[in-house]
Amino acid sequence: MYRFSRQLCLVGLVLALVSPAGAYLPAPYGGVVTAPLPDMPATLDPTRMARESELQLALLLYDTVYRLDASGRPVPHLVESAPQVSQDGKSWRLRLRSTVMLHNGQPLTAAQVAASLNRLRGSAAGYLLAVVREVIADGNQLVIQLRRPARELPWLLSAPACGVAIPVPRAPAGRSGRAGIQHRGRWIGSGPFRLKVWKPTGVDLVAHRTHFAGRPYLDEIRFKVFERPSAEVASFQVGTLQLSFHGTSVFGSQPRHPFSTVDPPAMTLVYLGVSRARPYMADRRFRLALLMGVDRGRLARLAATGRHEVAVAPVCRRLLIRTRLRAVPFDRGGANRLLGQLASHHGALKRDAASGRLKLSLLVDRSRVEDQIVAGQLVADLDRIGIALTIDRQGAKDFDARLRSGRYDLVLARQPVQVPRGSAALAGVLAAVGQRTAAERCMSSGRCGAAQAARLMKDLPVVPLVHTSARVAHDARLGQLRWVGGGLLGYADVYWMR
Amino acid sequence: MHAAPQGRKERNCLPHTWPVLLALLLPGPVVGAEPAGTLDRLAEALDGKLAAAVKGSQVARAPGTAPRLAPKDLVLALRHGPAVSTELTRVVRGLLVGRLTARGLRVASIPAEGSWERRRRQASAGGFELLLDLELVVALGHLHLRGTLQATDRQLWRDTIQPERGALHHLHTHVRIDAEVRGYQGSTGSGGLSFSPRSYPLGREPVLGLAVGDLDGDGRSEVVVLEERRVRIMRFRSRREGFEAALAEDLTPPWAGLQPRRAFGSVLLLDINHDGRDDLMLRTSAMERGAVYALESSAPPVRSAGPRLRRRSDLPGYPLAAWRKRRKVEQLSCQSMAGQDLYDTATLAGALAGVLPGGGAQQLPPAFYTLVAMDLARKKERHRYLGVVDEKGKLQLFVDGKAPAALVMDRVGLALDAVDLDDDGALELVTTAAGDPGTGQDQITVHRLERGTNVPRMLWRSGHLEGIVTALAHGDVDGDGKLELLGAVFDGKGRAQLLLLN
Repeated sequence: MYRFSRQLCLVGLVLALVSPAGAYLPAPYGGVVTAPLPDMPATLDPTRMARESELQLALLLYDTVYRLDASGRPVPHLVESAPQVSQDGKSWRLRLRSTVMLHNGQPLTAAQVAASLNRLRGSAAGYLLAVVREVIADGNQLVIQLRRPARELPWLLSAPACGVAIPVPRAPAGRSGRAGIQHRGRWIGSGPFRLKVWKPTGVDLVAHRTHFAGRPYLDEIRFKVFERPSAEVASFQVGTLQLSFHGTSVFGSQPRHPFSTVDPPAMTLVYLGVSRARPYMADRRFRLALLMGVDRGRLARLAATGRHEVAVAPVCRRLLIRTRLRAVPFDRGGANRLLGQLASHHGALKRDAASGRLKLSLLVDRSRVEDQIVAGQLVADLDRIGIALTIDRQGAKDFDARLRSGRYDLVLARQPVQVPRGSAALAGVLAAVGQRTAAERCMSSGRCGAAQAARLMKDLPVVPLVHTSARVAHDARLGQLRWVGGGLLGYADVYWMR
Repeated sequence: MHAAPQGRKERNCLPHTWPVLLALLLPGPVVGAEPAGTLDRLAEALDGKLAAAVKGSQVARAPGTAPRLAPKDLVLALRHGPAVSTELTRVVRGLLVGRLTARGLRVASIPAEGSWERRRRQASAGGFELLLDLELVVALGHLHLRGTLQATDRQLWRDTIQPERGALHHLHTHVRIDAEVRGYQGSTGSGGLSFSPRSYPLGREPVLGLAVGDLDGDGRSEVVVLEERRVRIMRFRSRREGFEAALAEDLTPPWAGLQPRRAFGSVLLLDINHDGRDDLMLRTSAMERGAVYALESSAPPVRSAGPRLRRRSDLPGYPLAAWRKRRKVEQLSCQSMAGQDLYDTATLAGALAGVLPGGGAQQLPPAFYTLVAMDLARKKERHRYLGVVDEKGKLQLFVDGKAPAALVMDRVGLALDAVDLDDDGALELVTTAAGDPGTGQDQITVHRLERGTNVPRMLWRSGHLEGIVTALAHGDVDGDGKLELLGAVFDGKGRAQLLLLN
């Protein structure tokens, strides 16, 4: 017995000695990651990029003057160090890094950065730089003239829309390569990845090997857009997809490989845009009736695979300071009463609902799988208060065009945040629903917070439903996958573990 | 409170020793994470347990009275339980005695034979104050030490009926420590090495390089800590107090236009100009080019505010290795791969003859993370070693430029050092342990290359460190004439620590 236990002890010691020990190995270069996109991108012009997928791509294709670090604070990115700020705080002078290379191998100049930022000021996302009077290039320095002292400028300059992109002439027809490959993009950036191909099913990016902040570890990222969550999950389970937005919610079985999750905060607003074409729809009581008639608690669970919260304002609680707003409770009886009152004031409503139901169409983006489910729930909820919805599914480009021009009765849309700051998020919603002037006023005044949000709730043609995020399940062998800024994934540091 | 009889007060002078004893037993400042899972960890845990045990027995020392320590303060009796070899018991006993002796206690070991009462009497007769009576048990790869710590001056009547709280003779406590043992390699006797690691905080910047040398020519070694945009010079004070910062100087532009995602760098110390003071050669990935610095003042940097690092010249590449050959200094430098945290083998330049296989770099991997070269001479033998960790984490060691490599190890971490620690002419190779990736818990290992055969044998392995080892260096830091190992550890919470192994 003694002999046996002695042998056992020796075996134990030997096993302890040869057992693998943990050790850090540097991140290797190379490898391909295939990941899903939350929806189909409609443009690669950073000044027009507003969809979740577009912001994700902008983060990878274009560099910004500042970027948000892991703790969410802006740090100089395209510029070398802290700015020289004038005494009155209205002039910022930033020195551009000298060796930033564009994807075409040309060096990036301060003039190009200034032109890119000035172009943004005149675009739909111009509200982000509403506080900026002018951007001038002075040698290799950028001089930013402000309308007022703005300490939030580094945050604003870190927005994906502020990514520096150089327009290039479109390739002549017939030189687009193989069938299926549309074009190589009209915009050249300097980001960690460059565009390889943009297909109807997704976007492929390859590493920018001379990126000034270091070559990304991955060789290539292949983004795919899935029409059904089940297809995405199946791809993740068999290992052809390394990330999944639905992997943790609809798994029938475990994937073949171990996985981890990344859980960004719920910051993307899912809202119902209301047309102003009909007079009763512009009435605040109509929007209130919609708000009361929709079970948003249930909707939140359907709209998000990750965190979610019922929206009390167009901006999530995380970004609103000292908000006293309260969620409108789910009350179908109250909604019906409100619509009844409205019908007594608006003859048009009485006329449109002469058949006993008000018939409206709901514009939905076909590429957003969650929105299909949410739209179904909306149809069911609004049917109970006498509104018959017809779902109008459109592709990404048509959807965006109609959203911008206001050609809809109701629209189910999403508004991701460009910058995780309350004022910018609020201005983003204003700009998205066509209130560009209000958005710019909001940003240029510097007084755009919870009180403004409460006031805008009364006037905005928007019914904020929920704030959501996507919980991302990913192959556990992927290192350094984490969310940055407004809940986007920072792929530039991702690598395959050895 | 009751007044102690006068006679007893005179006789019982032992409590006066307690504050001092307590101070000696109390663990030193716990700075950062200590490695766990070694025999030394066990000894340290015991140390902590003893401190906790005697803490309640503290008696205020009368002011002005000098502490009086008996010639021998503590006697250790270590029995080995079933299935524990006498060799392991001997190793553990040696460690415990060493550890407690290092605290300033006078420790003796007696044979653990007979009953406890017999051992107590034996200890008491020898003038010992305390008896630490322990049993060593090994179960499923874990070491358990359990037993009692009691005063040798025990009397049944006095201690049970009229106990005097705080007095030494009242002390009776149970001691139990468990430790997972993974690094035990058998005997640490002849030819073996054992280290006692201790860590000290360094700040929140990862350390890219470490070097030990005499920068100011005062005969004492300084430690150079290289960060991405700063270099620090530190001097060892004591094992308890750690290192003090002698100088911290920001590196200066021009900065590199293309920087990798993970910062890296190299630092070397060598007296290039034969002025009796080491010169500092360094480059980080943030710098456009490397630089040679010298300490400007001859005064010790610790006490003088004056000394500054003066940039003497530029270096074209990253300084990887340097040594002196007679009056001549030979250097090995390299450039990095563009935008990557790897060195480009094709750009290796310097004293290649006799170091690289075949005199060239053809047999080396095309890119590597770390390179270490060493010129080791003993008596009439002279050998040159070159070790590289390639981009797949594989370590290859070349001896006298001969291929195939003498040593190939997979899954080696970032840091590497080569040294003859015990001055026996055989090379000790210090690496981070191979194993599971991504855990962020490195281990430091020491291999010895047997002379003649160049067969590696692992001598020592640390416990799991709470972070990754980013740099390794060696030198006589504490001035005791023996070489110590230094490691820089960066943990998951963004804290850097300096690990001293001696």
